[in-house]
Amino acid sequence: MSRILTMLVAMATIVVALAGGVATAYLVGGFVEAHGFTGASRLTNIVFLMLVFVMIIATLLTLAERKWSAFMQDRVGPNRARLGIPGLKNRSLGGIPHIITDVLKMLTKEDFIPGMANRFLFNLGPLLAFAPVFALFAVVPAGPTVTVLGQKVDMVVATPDFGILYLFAIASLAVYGTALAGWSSNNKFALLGGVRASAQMISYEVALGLSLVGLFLTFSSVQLPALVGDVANALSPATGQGQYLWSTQVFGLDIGIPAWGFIIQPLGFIGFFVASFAETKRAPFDVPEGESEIIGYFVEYSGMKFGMFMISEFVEVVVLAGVTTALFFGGHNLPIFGEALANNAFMQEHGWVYGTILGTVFWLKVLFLIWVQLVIRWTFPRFRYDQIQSLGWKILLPVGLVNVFVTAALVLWDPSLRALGVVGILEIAVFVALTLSKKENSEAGAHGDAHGHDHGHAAPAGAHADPHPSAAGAH
Amino acid sequence: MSIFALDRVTAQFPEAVAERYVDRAGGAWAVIHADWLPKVAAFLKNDPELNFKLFGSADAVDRLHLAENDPRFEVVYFLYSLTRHEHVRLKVRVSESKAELPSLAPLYRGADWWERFVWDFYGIRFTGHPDLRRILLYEEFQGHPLRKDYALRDRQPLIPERPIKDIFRGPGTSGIA
Amino acid sequence: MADSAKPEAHAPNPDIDSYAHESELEAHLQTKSMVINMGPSHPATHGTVRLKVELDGETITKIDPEIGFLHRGFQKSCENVTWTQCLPYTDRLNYLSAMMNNFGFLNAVEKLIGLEIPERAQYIRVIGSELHRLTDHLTCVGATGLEMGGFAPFLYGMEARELIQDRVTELTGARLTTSFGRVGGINRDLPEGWIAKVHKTLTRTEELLVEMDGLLTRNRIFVDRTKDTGVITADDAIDYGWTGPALRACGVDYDIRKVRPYWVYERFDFDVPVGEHGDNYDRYLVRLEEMRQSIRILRQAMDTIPAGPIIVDDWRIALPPKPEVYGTIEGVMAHFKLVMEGIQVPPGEVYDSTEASNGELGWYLVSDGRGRPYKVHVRAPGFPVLAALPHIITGKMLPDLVPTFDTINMIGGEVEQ
Repeated sequence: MSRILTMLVAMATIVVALAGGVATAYLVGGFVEAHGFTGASRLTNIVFLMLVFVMIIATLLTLAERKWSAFMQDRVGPNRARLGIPGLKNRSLGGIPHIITDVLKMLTKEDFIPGMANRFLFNLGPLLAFAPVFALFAVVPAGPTVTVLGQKVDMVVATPDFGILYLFAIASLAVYGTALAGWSSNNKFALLGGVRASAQMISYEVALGLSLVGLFLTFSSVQLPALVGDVANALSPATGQGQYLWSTQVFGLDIGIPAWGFIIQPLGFIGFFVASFAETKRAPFDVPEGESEIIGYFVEYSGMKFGMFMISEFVEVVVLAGVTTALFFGGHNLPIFGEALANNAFMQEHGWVYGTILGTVFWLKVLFLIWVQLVIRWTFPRFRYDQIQSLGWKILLPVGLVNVFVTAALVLWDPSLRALGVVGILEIAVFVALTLSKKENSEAGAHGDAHGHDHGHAAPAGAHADPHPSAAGAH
Repeated sequence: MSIFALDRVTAQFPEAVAERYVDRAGGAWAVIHADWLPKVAAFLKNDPELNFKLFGSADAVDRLHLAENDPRFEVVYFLYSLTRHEHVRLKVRVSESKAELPSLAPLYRGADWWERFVWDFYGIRFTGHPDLRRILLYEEFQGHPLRKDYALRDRQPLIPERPIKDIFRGPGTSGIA
Repeated sequence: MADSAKPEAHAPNPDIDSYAHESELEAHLQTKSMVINMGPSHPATHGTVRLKVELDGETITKIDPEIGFLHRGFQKSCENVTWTQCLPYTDRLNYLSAMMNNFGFLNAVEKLIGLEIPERAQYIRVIGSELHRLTDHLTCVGATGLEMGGFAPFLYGMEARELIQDRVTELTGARLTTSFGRVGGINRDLPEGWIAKVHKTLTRTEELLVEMDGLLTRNRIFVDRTKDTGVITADDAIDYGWTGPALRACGVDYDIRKVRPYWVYERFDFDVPVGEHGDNYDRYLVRLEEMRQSIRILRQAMDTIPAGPIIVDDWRIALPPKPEVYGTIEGVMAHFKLVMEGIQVPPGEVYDSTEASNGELGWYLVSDGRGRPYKVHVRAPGFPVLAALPHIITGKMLPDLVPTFDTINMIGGEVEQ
């Protein structure tokens, strides 16, 4: 009971903290717009989105991952570090002091450079792995454009015309860090890791790009704010993922099925999620690390340089969740009641309140997707190197291609996206049915009689069935 | 146990078997002349009625301190038949001056490591073995420690580190320094 | 891939060779194989085994296992102590299932003496052996999951193993190196209420087995990684001298507990799982099923264990009871002689084997009648299994090496003696 209570308190704290952060971001943005120069809010957005939100979530994620994996594995998780403050001395505080000890440990460790390493590239590696991941978040809108203090403020760092292409370009840069780190360490294991990482990156770039083409066709744009869209108001109809496929009014509130990416583009969503998962190099795609085979591309790194690789992995998780939210989960839009909220007089008058609510919604979706990634990471074993390649080239690529053609045909046939929605919902139903169906059917074949004198196989534990349809579709 | 198999061997190769006896636990033993060992083993392995295909293990005994100790070494082989479900226990006596035996490794791949083991610890050579190196000890080890004249607390000399050939000088260069 | 070598000396001649430009390119792209050194300290090598692996890309072209880093002179040590004092050395052979080594050794010594041990002692030996078979297989299956990146199954396995080791501690006083049992029986009886506790532990173990099963057996990635990797045919496995679960996974039904039952194994109803493909997946399944069968044996043994003495009443072999030692001169003498001179095993030799967790644990013992073993040969089941590793893995990929190495479950302690 107390554990549930603790979790509820923790969740409430997270929501309040997110809302506070978003509100501050909007108010500060409006303030600098009003008192500084036009576009100054973009600069504060850099500070708030990247340094505050992404960085803090990634830092806390180091702890959350360990706690959650412990929870999944019947362990307690980190609880040894204590702060020497009177009153707090004997509390583990959910393991939060471990973050501090981790940072201190990494900062104080010897920064070791192997004698035969290429020093320049060796030092450059962690930076190249770290910086592009951060820069990815620049094009992701984390909230609606609202009027604060009489100024228009949006929650995005940059809105270039090429939009999502920026994402692809920067995401592929990250592999330079990995490959250079592996090569410059002058270690055969590290070299193997670097080579594996680049091979994996090359094969998944294609699937990654292709899986999004359907979405571009649907919304006729490559810009993330346009893809996220806005709900209908008095002046303009709904755009992007803000629109409804079917909707109705109940007591003056609008409910319906929104045109979110994962509903109209389930195949695209799965392809994108799997491919970007592969780009984060986390299990089950962690062959470049593969700690039990080749120790990993960062085997020679120590101290904070290793920490850079580590934290960039967590930042990647956050950024991936953010991008997926914006592309496939309606960004900051509410699934229902969106129009009622947008057209509320109070909300129209106090734009920052509206922005705060929707911004919080965005970050909650991000947290949910981060959680999904954690569950997947701690459920599956690692692929083999060639199996990853065949998954990318033989499954994701053809599926992506088929998806492009089907989507194009359906959009041409029914521009209102409803046909696309029907097909999408059918696909989701198939995935759910496949996931829930008896597992015996899929694998019983050749090895079923390996149990010479078997006494019936106990059903696989339900608790660890696929946590999300996406995982089922991925394999 | 396995008396039948040894009867067959005796019938097939009368001059190969030097001695036969049964131990207290009921295990039947046959002492084979060294020259005949490969033929006897091949017969035991390939005869469809015997089918001793599983190479159990091999080891040696240094009989230095036993009453009867000429020749000095006894190499023992344990083969197993998965159809008859019994072991056959073979013994070959080897003298110290000519510590050499025909290898069974070409016949049983399983014999490979066990013969390396016997070579490592007793210094008995196996002729025809594809790769007769020490297995548990290092190449520079002096003597063979399971011989009874190797004292329990004998010390080995320090040996210099071996040169390492395949370390690259710097990343990506041609590999030869 | 590793590094490009310098162009070859015989440069192509563009005048006579129409493919000169291509061969020139090839000369620049010339590759050479890379030798990497897995171990002796590597996360995937249990114990300390050094694998010299020659790689062409990710394909293993040559592998040479170099063992002996854990060699501690087992045989030499045993030859210099009394028969009872050998017992702690046998613990360290397969440190995951020490009791099976203890009992296997004692069984061979008793055969050499020609001794029949009391029934209750035989039951306790079966119970101890099967408990340690469980811990060994749990570690093996868990580590298989762990080294393929699935951390959770390993920890489920460890939880069950910890529970069993708590029971083992209550029985023997030690977690790993039990040194349990004496020549002629067992040195202490089951603790009070222990059987009920073990039943509870086994129930929990069964639950955890279901969890591991659910996480791994039908997991597509796990199946892809293990199925058709590390394959060995039954003929090859027999030729290399494989025994135990690894051989049974190839489809050969050979379990010493069934074909030559020792102690009281013939009284229990249990099945021997047999695979058919001889790949990693079958080895994993066989081990998983063997654990369930071990639980069956344990439950039957604990339900039917008879009362009675736990060690033979022969003061030449077993220590006399303490009141006799303190009260009678015969007791003191027998105690003194046993402790100082050891058990006087009559001269002779014996080869005997029991089914340990990884296969046939054979003992060839020679006694010269002086109270110390003249020769202790141990046929460690892992030794032939590891010997076949180059045969299995040559030509396969580097990532296949890890699950193969896990499922053959080579234990450094017994292989390197």
